[in-house]
Amino acid sequence: MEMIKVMNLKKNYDDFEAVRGIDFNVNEGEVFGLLGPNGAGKTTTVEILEGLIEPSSGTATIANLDVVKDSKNVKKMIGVQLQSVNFFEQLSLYEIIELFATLYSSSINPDLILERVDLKKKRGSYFKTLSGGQKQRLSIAVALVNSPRVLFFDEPTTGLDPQARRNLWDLIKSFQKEGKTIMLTTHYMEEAEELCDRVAIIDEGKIIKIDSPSNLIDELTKSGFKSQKKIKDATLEDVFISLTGKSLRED
Amino acid sequence: MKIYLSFTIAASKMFFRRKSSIFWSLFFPVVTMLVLGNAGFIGYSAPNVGLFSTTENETIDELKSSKSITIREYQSKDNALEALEKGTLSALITLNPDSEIIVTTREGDLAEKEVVENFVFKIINQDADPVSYVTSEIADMNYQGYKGFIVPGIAAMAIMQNGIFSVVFTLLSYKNQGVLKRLKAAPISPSHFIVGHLISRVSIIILQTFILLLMGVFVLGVSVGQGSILAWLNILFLSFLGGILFLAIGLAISSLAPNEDSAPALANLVTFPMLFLSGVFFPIDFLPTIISYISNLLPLTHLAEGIRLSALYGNSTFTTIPQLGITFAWLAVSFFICAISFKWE
Repeated sequence: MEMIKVMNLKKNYDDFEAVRGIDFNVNEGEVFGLLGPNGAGKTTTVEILEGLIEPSSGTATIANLDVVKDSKNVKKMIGVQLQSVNFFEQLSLYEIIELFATLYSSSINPDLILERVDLKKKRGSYFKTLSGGQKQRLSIAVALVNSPRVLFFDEPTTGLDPQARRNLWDLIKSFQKEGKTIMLTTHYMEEAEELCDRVAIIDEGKIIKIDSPSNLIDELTKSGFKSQKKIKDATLEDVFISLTGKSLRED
Repeated sequence: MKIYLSFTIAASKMFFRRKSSIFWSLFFPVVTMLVLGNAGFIGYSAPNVGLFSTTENETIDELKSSKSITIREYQSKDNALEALEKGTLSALITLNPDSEIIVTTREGDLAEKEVVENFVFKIINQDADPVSYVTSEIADMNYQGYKGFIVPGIAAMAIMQNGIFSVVFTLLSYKNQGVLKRLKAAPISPSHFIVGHLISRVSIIILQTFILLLMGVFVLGVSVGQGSILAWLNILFLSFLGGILFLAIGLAISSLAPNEDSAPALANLVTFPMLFLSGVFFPIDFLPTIISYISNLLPLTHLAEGIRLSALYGNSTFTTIPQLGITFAWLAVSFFICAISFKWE
């Protein structure tokens, strides 16, 4: 089943065309990546789907609900992590989750969600005392309060150290195992390769290519492309992780 | 309803957890009030002497041309006595047709009585006016000196500061950090958050007003409310209305400010003149005419005057209706500006 359907979506800001007519579908249970350089239109696209921005033209649906006309019902069903992660600084993590649970009319136990993202120990701490990785995890925890079917992550690992990033990857993979549909944006190709079933490469507001990461790589190598760097069996990041360990450093 | 309540509770928790908000809304006004109230400001009303005359004679001209004392002429004795009671006059000279000159002073103002009487004697002697004679009169009125003036003034000032700055700094920082955007992604209207924030702040503003007035009562010994429940209720009502008004002005400032840096500057531009032109620290009765027109248009002038009337003279809501009118007019203007120009992001 197609969970997200986007048809000829456009968004103009005055005379700047941020999104210039894009089409794609995301299947239920799929991890779909939106890749592109800064200013390519990734965040604009995601924020239209999240009901934060109205498109100039075109349509988008999530579970057959129009994101503009049925915005409120769409919002109830999706979990959102925005690119700039900020919450009320003087509230504890428990209070933040509790507050957002109220906004989504959810009766979930905040401690269970904090446990899920490994922040149970920090339940009484204020948001402002958290490290970057912890803030990202809290942001994901907040996205889970309504037990969403679809999750949006906008550059979830930007600025994180390798341990925190891998920790977040594991978390995202665990959501996929539960059958959630996930849409994420990133500029890290190894992240897309690791997590995404399919990716759309977007540049200057247009989608250039949609396929699975391995198909895209095969297509490039078939055309005679040779990497200038000899590909080894491990990356420098693997070395770094094996030397410094996988455990999170911020706690 | 539950959402409004959650936001109100959250906003209140955040207020009391932020040291700077406690400092600016409670500590700073309390200290200012106690320091100014104890300083007493000698001579704060001394140079102004009222003159009411039902007759025409040379003595009036002599009095008016005096350089040592500022004479303000009144057309009705009641108005003059009211000014004496409010502290804008330190004494009143009344000239009756039968050559009686009455010097009216407040109870306990012995120095003022002596200075003004001597002044009047001197003028009569110069004129060699043997007909006139001077009698003294002690007005029976509730005058509490400068501390009586400053306590309601500071309470009004604190309402303005808390109202405007809690919006300009707090809401704007949530907006800039993207907190409001995340709320917008939830299936609620972000106005729930604004309303919750405003309810929380209005409650805190009312609490703050009562703390300041009670400090005035117990620390400075000012008598507030004059035993009238209606006066206290009116102070409650005025704090509520003033709180909403200045929060709305804060929202209007945030809406109009072109960027985040200019909002605090704009807020200072709005609040600073009001501190001096609205009768917070000193009475505005003798400001130059043009400036007094401006003063009378400023919302803080009427809030301060309303609270002062209730606190010092026990006025109830119905006797402060002129003050309420201007306040409502400002509310309407502020809400209009917010409605047309507020942006969530």
